[in-house]
Amino acid sequence: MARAQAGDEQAHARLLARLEPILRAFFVKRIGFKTEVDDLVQNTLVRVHTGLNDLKDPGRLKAFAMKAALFELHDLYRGRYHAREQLYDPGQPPEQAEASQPAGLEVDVERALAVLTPRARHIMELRAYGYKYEEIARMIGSTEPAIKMQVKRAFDKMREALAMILLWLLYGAGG
Amino acid sequence: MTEALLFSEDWTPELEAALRHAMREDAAFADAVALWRRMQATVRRNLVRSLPDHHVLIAYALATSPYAEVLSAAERSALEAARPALEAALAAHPALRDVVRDVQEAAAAFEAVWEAQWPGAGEPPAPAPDRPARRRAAARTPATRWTARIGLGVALALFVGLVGLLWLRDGRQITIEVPPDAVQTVALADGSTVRLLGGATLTYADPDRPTAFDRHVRLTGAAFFDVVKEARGFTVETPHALATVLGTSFGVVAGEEQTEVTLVTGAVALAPRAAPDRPVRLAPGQRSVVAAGALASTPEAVDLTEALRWTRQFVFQDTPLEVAVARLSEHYGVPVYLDEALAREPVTGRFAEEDYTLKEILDILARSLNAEVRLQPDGSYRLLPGA
Repeated sequence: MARAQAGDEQAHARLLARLEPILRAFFVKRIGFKTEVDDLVQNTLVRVHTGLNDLKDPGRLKAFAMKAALFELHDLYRGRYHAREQLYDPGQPPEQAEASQPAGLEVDVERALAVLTPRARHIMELRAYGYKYEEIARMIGSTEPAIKMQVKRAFDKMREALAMILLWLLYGAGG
Repeated sequence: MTEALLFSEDWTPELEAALRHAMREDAAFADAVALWRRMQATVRRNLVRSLPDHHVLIAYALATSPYAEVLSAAERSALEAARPALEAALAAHPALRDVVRDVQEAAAAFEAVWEAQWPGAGEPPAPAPDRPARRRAAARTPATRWTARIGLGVALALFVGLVGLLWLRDGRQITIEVPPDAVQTVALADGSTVRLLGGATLTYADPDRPTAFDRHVRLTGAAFFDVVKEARGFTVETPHALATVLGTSFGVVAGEEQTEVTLVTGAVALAPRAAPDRPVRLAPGQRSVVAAGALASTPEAVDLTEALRWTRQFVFQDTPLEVAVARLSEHYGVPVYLDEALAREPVTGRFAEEDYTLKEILDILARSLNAEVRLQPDGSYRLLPGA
C-alpha cells in the first residue's frame, strides 16, 4: 500500500489486482452475475486509483474501498430506469414534459397517486430509486411475483381512476 | 403489453415500437401509459427533491450501523450538516428506510467478502495494549470475529470455497441462498418457477442464457416447484435423491438426513442418487422419502393441505371446501361459515400466503363453486350457494 502510494507502479497494479476479486465477489453477491458487474468493478477501481494518493492512512483502504463500492452500486441503481422512462411519452421529450407540465395534469397525477395503497406507493418509490422488482422483494421480505402483482393492481387501479376522471370531464363538458 | 410496460427489465427498441403501436391502437391504453409514466416521473422527482444527493443517504446508513468508523471526519461533518433535511426525507418517504437497511446489508456483505479474501488487510493496526480493548471489540463485526477465531484452517476452506465460486461463475450457474424466514420465488429459463423457503439453497443455470439451461437444478432445504411441461425431463438433485419429472408441481424438503417429495399434480420419479435406476413413481397426493443409503419409500397418500403447510401456501387439490376454509380461518384468525350444501364441494387452487387476503381467496373459491361470499357485521365471512 505504502509503495503504491509512493509511485511504485508495480505495487499499484498489484494492489488493484488484489482488490479486483474482492469487488467482483461483492457485486455478484448484491446483483448476481450480471454484465453490469464488470463496469462496477472497473469504476470502483478507478475511484480507488484516483483517491489513493489522498489516502493518508493505509489503514483506511478497506473503508475507502467499501464506500467506493457502495457509491458505485447506488449510482448504478439510480441510473437504471431514468433513461428508459424517457421512452414512454411519444409526444415530447420527458424532460420538457416534466418541466412544463400543465397544472391540470399535475392534479391528475396527484389524484392518481392518491388512489394507490401505501404499499404500492412504497414499491413505486423503491423502483424510482432504481431497484429491480426482485431486489425490492428481497428488501421488504416479499416475493417478486407478489411485488409484481401489487404493481399490476396499482396500474389497474390507476386506469380505473383515470377512466372515472375522463368520464367526469366528459360529463362536465356535456353539462 | 401492460405486463411488458410494467415489468420488462430490458427495454429494447422492438418493445418500445410495440408499446407505441399498442398506444396508437388503443387511446385509453395510451392515456393510461402516459399517466403511469407521469406518476413514475412524479414519484422520482419528489424523491430527488427530498434527497438531492443519495451519497449522503449512504453515509447516514453507515453512520447508523456497526460500520460508522468507515466515515472520515469530513464525511461525518457533511452528514451532520445534511441531517435535518435527510431526516425529513426519511419521514416523507418510508421507502428510504429500506434503502438505508439495504446499504447496511451491503456494507456487511462487503466486510464478509473482504475478510474472506483478504483478512485483516487495509484496516487500522491492532490497538496498542493501553488502548481500551472494549472499544475495539465493539467495532469488530461478526465476520472479523469469526475469522479471528477460526484462523488458518478455515482460511484454507475459504480458498476451496472461492474455487467453487469461480467454477460456478465460469459455468454460468447461479446459486441462491434464501435467508431464514424469507420466501423467494425464482423463475428458471424454461418458465418453471421455484418457491424457495427460508434456508434453502438452489443452484441453476443463468436465465440470461436460456440455451444453456438443461432443466437440472440442485437443492438443499425446502422448495416448491412448478415445472413447465416439456418433452425433456426436469431433474431436482438433492444430497440424497434425484427427482425427475416432465411437467408438474411438487414440494421437496432436502435435509441432511433425507429428502422428502410431495406431489400435487403430474408425475414424479424419485430415486436415490446412488441408484438412479431404481425409482418409485408418485401419483398426485402422494409422498415418498429417500433416506441416506436407502431406496425411496413406497409412496403414501397424504393430506396435501397439511403436508405442504411448510411451503407457506394454501394448497387445495380437490379439497373439501370445509377443510379449505378451516385452514384459512385458522391462519387468518377470522371465522368463516359455510352453508351445509357447500361443505363437501371439492376446491382446487394454490395461494401463496403473502399474495392474497382472506377475502380474495374466498372470492376465488366461491367463484369456482358459483357461490357468494358475504361479510358479516361481526367481521366473519359466510359462503352461500349462488342464486
